[in-house]
Amino acid sequence: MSDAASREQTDTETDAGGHGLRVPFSEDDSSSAHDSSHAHANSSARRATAARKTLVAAITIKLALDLLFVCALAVYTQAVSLRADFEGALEYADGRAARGWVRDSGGSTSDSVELQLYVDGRFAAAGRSASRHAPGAATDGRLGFELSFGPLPPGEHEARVYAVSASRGGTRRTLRQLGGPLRFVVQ
Amino acid sequence: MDRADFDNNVAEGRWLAAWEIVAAGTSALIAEWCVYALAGGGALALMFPVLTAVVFMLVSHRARGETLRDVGWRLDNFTEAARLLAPVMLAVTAALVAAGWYNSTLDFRRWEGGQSILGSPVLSLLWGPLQQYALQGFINRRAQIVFGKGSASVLLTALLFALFHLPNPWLMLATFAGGLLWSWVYQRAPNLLAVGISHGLMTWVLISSVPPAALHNLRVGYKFFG
Repeated sequence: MSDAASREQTDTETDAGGHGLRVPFSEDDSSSAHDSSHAHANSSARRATAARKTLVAAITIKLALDLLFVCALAVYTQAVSLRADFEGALEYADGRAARGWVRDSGGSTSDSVELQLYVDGRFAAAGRSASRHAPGAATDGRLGFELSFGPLPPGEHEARVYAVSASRGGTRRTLRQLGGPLRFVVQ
Repeated sequence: MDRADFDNNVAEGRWLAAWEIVAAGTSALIAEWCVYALAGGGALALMFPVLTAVVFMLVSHRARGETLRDVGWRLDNFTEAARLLAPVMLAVTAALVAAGWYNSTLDFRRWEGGQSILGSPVLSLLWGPLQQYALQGFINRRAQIVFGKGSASVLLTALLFALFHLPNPWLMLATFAGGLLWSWVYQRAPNLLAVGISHGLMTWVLISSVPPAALHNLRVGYKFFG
């Protein structure tokens, strides 16, 4: 198709087998190759091969970069938002309060650790551990805590305590469970 | 080149076009489903899928020898495209405005918090053509290489457009319907300005007529749940 004819064409480039689609794999290439000299056909074939190689490389690189980006994002999120620097345990619970300890080994400068308590899967209380600078604080970094909550009905209950980790300037807050769940009975 | 070689080349070209659609589509899905979920609302992380998609599409255009004019950045067929779009746009606009008026939900200042009645159309006139470039100028053209011009490639383009608006049900329905119209028009008169402006205006009319809660504030991907 000449340039003038091309400019006049307002239709789309039609399908892969038709005319005008600027795809190096279309019949256009084949027909032009038949119509033209052998040298031109070879040149056209080389261009098509080069274009195919470029596209294969572009697709491969693009998908590989996407994969790497998602992996990097997941690792970054794990490292920053879901950090595993908290240790601890819930040691005692009754119908009104729960006690245990927590240690922040991530080098946080925070004076104490923010905690949330859930009983039977429902939020029960929030609070903070003892201050690491308080008189009598353990030298191994363990900080005690006691969280009080409303009275529970008689029966068996399950308590879980979580350390709150704030990241990205406090815009994201994630919970990390300390130890396992603690089952207890209220008479 | 004998017939077998030619057939192989065409088949290979179709497979490559299909993979190009996949490679471009992953950027949209990563932006919608991974970036917000893992990195929060940070615009910096969003730059990666956007930039890689743009660079990839430009490389593909160059490899295939596509010009700006081929892709649809042209003015000579604007009138033809507008003529194809206008009847449907007018009918849908009339129906939406009537429904909005009847339900007392009509508010042309709703978009962008109603800051400016001029702000919404201006924003939509930028956003529409950019989205339509990726959808029509890239995906529709590759879909035509895979399936040829016609209903199959139009349907695939519209389905992908709806897929990119998961899991917002009413927005998926609206984008599927819009995708059918814009893909059909683009295959007859490939003009990105016309379909882009149409996209922007129809979005504005939709937002102005339908209560925000029904469209879930246009939220898609992981953000839909946030």
